[in-house]
Amino acid sequence: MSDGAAGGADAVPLYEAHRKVYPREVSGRFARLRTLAAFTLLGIFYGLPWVQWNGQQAVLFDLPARKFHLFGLTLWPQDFLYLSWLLVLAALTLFFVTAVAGRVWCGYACPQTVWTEAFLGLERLVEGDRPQRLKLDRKPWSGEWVLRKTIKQVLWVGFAGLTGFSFVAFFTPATELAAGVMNLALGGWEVFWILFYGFATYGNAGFLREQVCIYMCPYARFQGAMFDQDTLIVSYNPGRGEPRGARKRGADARATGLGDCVDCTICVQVCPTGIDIRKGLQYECIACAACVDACDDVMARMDYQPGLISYVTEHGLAGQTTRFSRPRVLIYGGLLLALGIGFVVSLGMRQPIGLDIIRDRNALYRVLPDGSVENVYSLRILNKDDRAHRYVIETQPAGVFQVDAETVVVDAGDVRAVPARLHVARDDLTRAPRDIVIAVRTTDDSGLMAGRTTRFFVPEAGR
Amino acid sequence: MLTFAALDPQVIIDGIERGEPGAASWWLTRTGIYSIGFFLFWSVAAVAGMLTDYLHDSPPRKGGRS
Repeated sequence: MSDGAAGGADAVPLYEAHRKVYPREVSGRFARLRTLAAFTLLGIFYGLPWVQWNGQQAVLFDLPARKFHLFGLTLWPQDFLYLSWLLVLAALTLFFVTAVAGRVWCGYACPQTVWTEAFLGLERLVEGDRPQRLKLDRKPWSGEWVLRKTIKQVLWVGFAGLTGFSFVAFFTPATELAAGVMNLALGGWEVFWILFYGFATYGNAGFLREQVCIYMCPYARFQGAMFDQDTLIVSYNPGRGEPRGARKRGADARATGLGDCVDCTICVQVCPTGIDIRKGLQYECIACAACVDACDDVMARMDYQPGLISYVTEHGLAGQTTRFSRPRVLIYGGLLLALGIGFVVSLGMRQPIGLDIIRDRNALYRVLPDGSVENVYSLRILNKDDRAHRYVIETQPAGVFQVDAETVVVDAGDVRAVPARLHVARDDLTRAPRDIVIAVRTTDDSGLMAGRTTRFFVPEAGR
Repeated sequence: MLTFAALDPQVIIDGIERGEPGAASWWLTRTGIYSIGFFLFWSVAAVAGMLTDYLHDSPPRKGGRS
């Protein structure tokens, strides 16, 4: 890269040197909203593994047993469709929200943002706000430096460890895991994942921070595709703010020929990604609205109208009306609604029983000595319920066919292949329909049933 | 996820145990194989990313046109 002779004028280094960002603390309505979101989401993450539902952990992705528990619902590997469906729904929700309101996900709900806020909060607690932190880092090593940094690291490491533990508690029952930690008797992989996830949290939220959003996040790179001129973005109003400049408090801006921007740079100091929003919309902006709060505060102190920096659409900024209903919003919204309803309906109608029928490939039919005709099928019965069931095999219409198959017991979450022979007596051959339904039914009071249509072949002469 | 919805890692473990009972070490559990699978896919993605960067940013030839 430093090969200047061959590289020419446009050779740029692969990595930009990282400048540490020291976000200044901010207060205001969006800051309160962000704090509320962070507490709610972290509360869910740390609390959910401890919630019980019908005597077991409410949300448990039990990988060793290959089943996922979601509030009384148990999903088996065969229900993979529902999980992918859920992910598609989540993605569509993200697209819909982004088209309408911009990067609210990034600003309020993204784990990267939430944990960075939490780590930053701990940092503030120990090292103070931006000016104190800057001062501390500029000073040479001292007793105070070592003390404050040590306390911060201890807090960070503890918090990261708790996060790793909580993450693993979604996969290993939380109570067992807690007991394992207490007795120092954890499985190797559990220890690994607690440490790995804790380390990832520590690295991402403690050190990488805004660099994850700027360099690593794929969503940050393609969310622009969902934006249009009616999408809410955090924007500075240059028509009102420029020309910017410092002035005495209470001075009449019109008389000095200046705009409303007093060039205090607080909007830059509070920015967690270290950008200047006054340069326009930039891909680094995660729309957290810290600059909106900060600027409104300054405007109030100057006795100016708030909203020099605000959530606004491009059309709104240009003085035009913002349209909410537009093709992309309607399409995303319509898809989301249709898939959402489909998901709920399909999940509601889901029966914890599955059946596949495979015809015997060797012979279409067999004529037995007594003149009756036999077809052979292989049935695969899948029990997706939480307990074992005994299944009986029958045909629809009944009566004509004699079913020669055992009743079978299939354990919870198991699959069993069962051979089934169907006979039709010679006298009944003319009455036997070609298309039949083979069904399995539970013999207990659960009333579960599944049927599949298949064919029954007879010799031509028999008809 | 798709891989392990279709493949039960227990099959691999059983296969090893059948060849030589007790051969499966402590890390060779379902969770272990899921973990290894996770990092395998991760490394594939990482290699793809590095390769993209390498090919995208190929240095100009010496002395010639770029």
